[in-house]
Amino acid sequence: MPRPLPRLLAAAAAVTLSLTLLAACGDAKKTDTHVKAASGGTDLSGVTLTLGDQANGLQTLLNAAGTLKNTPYKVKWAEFQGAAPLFQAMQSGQVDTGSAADLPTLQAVSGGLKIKLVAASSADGSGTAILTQPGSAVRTVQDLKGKDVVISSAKGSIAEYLLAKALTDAGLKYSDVHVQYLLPTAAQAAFNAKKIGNWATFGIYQDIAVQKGAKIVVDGRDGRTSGIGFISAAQSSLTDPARKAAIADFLGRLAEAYAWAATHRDQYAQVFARKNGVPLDVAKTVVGQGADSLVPVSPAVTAKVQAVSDLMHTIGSLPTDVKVAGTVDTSAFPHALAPTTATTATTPTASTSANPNPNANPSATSSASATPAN
Amino acid sequence: MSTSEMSRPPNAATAGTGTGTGCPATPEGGARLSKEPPEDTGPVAPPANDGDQSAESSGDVETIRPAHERRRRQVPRPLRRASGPVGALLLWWLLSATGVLSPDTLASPVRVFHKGWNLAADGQLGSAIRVSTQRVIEGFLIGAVAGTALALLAGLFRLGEDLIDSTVGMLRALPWVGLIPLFIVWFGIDEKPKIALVVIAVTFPLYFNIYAGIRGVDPQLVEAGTVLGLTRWGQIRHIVLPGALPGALVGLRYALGSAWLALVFAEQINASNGIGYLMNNAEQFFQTDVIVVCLVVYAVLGLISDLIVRLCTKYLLSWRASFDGA
Repeated sequence: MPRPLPRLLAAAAAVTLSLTLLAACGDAKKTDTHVKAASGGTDLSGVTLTLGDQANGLQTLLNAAGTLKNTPYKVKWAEFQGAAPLFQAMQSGQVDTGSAADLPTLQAVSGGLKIKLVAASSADGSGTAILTQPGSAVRTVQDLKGKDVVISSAKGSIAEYLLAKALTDAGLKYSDVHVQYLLPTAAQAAFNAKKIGNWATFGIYQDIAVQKGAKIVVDGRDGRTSGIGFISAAQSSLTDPARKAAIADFLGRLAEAYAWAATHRDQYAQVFARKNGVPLDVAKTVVGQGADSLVPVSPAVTAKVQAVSDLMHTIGSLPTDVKVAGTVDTSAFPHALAPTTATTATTPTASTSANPNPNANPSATSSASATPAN
Repeated sequence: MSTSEMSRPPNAATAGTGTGTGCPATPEGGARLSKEPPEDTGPVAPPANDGDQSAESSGDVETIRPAHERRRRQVPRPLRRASGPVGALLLWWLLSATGVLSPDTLASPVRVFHKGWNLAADGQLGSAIRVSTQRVIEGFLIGAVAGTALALLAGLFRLGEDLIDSTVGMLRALPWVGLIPLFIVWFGIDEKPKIALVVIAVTFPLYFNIYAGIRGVDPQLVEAGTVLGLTRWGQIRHIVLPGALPGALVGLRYALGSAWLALVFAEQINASNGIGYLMNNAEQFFQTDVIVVCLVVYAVLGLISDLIVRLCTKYLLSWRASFDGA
């Protein structure tokens, strides 16, 4: 049959080409800048650390604090709108570290992504809240019974956890409210247009709405949310000693930046407002709700987040039963920053001492780590 | 070109029957398999324009059969059409099985099939397809009416063109995903904004293709109509609209495709069901196998949409002899 052959061949060729390209994508990371294992862990000049970020959060903080200057390795930022694409990029090995709240991180773990939790940030939880329209009859969590509540961003978000926890605390069931999911930008438009009555949201969306008159029914303080965010690292990055050393150094610098932010709220807010184009008073609120320190992923932190995970699993918003402790790697950041009076950190006091010497076995040994000597 | 139809002898119906789509998988094609004339002594004389003077090559006589008989010995057309997708599937499976494609890059077809089976078994997939199909149908009907009406007004009347065409061209350039917050403000967060997105996705491809089809009608035919004394309305009815049909069908094919795609974005808006919802949710929880299942569903729905358009084409354009591939 002479006729159909060319068409078949062409189709087969096209398909082969696309699939091979796809397969090559999977291998691209292997041929990436793979540095030779730095001997002694001092020479990191061959390492380029790709830091994943959401909505410029970490980048703004580190720029404001100025603690990421003169690194012994190269730094590249990768910007993502949301946790899911950030984690996907970490899974592919294109991005070394990422920062996300506890629940998005749990979602990634539930999806079997190859990441490790290397450090945690802790905030008071006021950055998550359930809002209602000004003049609404809803005043307490009890009043939400039978009502529609819109949750941002999606199923399994921190805002959903706050709603579930607040309802549980108030003696109600999760099924007592009618839940709807909307991305925060869309929900913001809907809330402004009074198309939705009750909105469980977070961060800058919450603060802008409150500034425009929205009432807070309940927020995430007093343990209603964990307030914990995680810095996670791609497993493939942690297995490379030089890369891991660079990550440990980066975490030390990030800890300093948090310490700086805790004592320089106004300065930080000004930078934040400039960088994100929000009014200064909103920026002050956002910054005030932010984390005030970077801490190791201690058993206490793990237990706190495990409780979050379990509740979400019971309401069906986490598909698998996640065991948080199994995904923790404390070796890159085993000790919190010593409680010195935070300097402006232009003098790299702590960061030079944060010079890890990864031994040949990159497992959890706290000796090879960034620990300020003071 | 209907002129070639006219030059045929009226009883040449057995030869090719001129269903311009060239799909020999018709019942009569099957019926012809039973009689196999070794030489053409049957009543079927090949039409003169089949050109059988070229047989004189090396002295011995070669029997030239008409095209529809030569085709008989080949693989049936539907099988040939299926070979592309099946080949792709085989290659995917091979690459996964040999480990060239890592599961992180793309889940293996076996795993995807398993996941799809499970989703279908617990009713999730069925109800998602049902809900999405309903949204597509509603949006498509509204969009089809809007797109066709606008295209007719702009295509048939100069005033319509002046008022409509540039406006539609302008609106078409808007990134419609960026319209979502506006749609929510206008239509709320229930079914309306989702259907509105589908309407947008359907309206433009239909409009542009029908409009181009109307304006692209062969001027010689229009002239012939004038000479034959057709009224303005008669020209539109007998020449312009049939002439615009091929373009309209291309538009239909595009429109159906975009309607399904629009759902991915539409079902981010307060959806609790639908294929787009399944997909967005799977992205949240990194279930790549579910994402691939949804992609496969989209592909199958696209195939079905195309099949519908092909059938429409076959039925609507049966009068048109067309080139359907060598």
